[in-house]
Amino acid sequence: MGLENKVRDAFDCVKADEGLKDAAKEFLRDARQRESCPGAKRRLLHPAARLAFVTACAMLAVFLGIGSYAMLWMPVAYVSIDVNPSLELELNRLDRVIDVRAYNADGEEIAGNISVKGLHYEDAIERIVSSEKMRPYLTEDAALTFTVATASALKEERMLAEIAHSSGCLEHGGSSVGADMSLVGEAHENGLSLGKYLAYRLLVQYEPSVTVQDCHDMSMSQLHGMLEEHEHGTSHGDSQGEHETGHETEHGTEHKGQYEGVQESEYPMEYDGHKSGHGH
Amino acid sequence: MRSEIEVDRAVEQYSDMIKRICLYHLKNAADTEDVFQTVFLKYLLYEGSFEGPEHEKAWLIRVTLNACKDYLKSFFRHSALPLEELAEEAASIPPKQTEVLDAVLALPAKYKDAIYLHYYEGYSAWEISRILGKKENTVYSLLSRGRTMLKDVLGGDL
Repeated sequence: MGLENKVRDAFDCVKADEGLKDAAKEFLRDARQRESCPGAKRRLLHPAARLAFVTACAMLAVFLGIGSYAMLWMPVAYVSIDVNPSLELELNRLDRVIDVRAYNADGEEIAGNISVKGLHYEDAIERIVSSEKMRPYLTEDAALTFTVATASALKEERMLAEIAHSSGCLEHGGSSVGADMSLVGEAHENGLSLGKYLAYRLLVQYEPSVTVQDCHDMSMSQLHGMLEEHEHGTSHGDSQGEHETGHETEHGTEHKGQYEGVQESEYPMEYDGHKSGHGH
Repeated sequence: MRSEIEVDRAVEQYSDMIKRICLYHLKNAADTEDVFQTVFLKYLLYEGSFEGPEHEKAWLIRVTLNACKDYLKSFFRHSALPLEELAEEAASIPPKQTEVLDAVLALPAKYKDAIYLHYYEGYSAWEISRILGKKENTVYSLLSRGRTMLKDVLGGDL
């Protein structure tokens, strides 16, 4: 058999099946409809290009989804509220509360009964501080403390100012303090809110025997009381040294700068009972 | 834009030819379907007129060859299947014909078009030169060398 016949016989076996023809006819009918539609004169995309376009759209949607998640659900700032109840608000980039964590039984009681998720942190603080559940703890000698941690110094400054001037803070003589973001993880690893952990870090400088568990069981008022005792002791015993190191201010002794984690802020935490700069 | 009747007629008339050209260029059913649709889409949208059936057929061959070449260069093409899978794709092809097809498919690309168009479609060297845009002597050379290569593979009295 000659080559011509062999090639002819071989290629004769190759035929377009009905499925291929029908798919083409269907595709062409769709194409005709699209081309006939007013305003749809653009050339149709190749099926593979169309698939790539759809894939690109899907990927874009995924990226936008990740971006939205990062925007809405990634915590970028923390505000702990400590009296005896210890609570911590996790905030997203929009300053909205995305989670509330309790760090003691009293805190759990509050967190379980007050819904603040989705609120702006100022509204959340207001709702928590003015709640019936919180009222028993906000006594005359209570030490309402707000502790703020965020990666941006400007944002921290703004938040501290807003909290210091909030009605919840002013009404109950609260104080606000900034903390380094790196301390957030340490505090949580030790089972303490950021505010209590800062107080622990200060106290342990004076009393190395104090443990995290001791602080966990104490209210902020008790922690402040112990710190005041130490402060008065050092300021009376070695006042010259204190003045030289610049740790005393016209408002009293500031603990900021005494250890690495506390941020320099114009809203320092004060443990000597003079909270007038922020709470009054 | 061509009428639906005209397009359906072309699909029925030229599907086998286009499938064969796609087969020896692409060796892949999915790619074949993509190019198959592309060719008929071009036909649907072609605004020109044909001088007759032979002109129309030659136009479709050129469009199919170009679409195959474009597709092979394209980012979107599917990965090529090995030749052995040709038999799986066309299980109904007898072994003897599969052997010939395999031999044609194994030829370098530039020989396959000339061999197919001459030995299957019956075009002369001059006609092939018009379709492929090559010199007639070049087509003779391609046919001669292609024939020798097939003889080496298939043996017998070619």
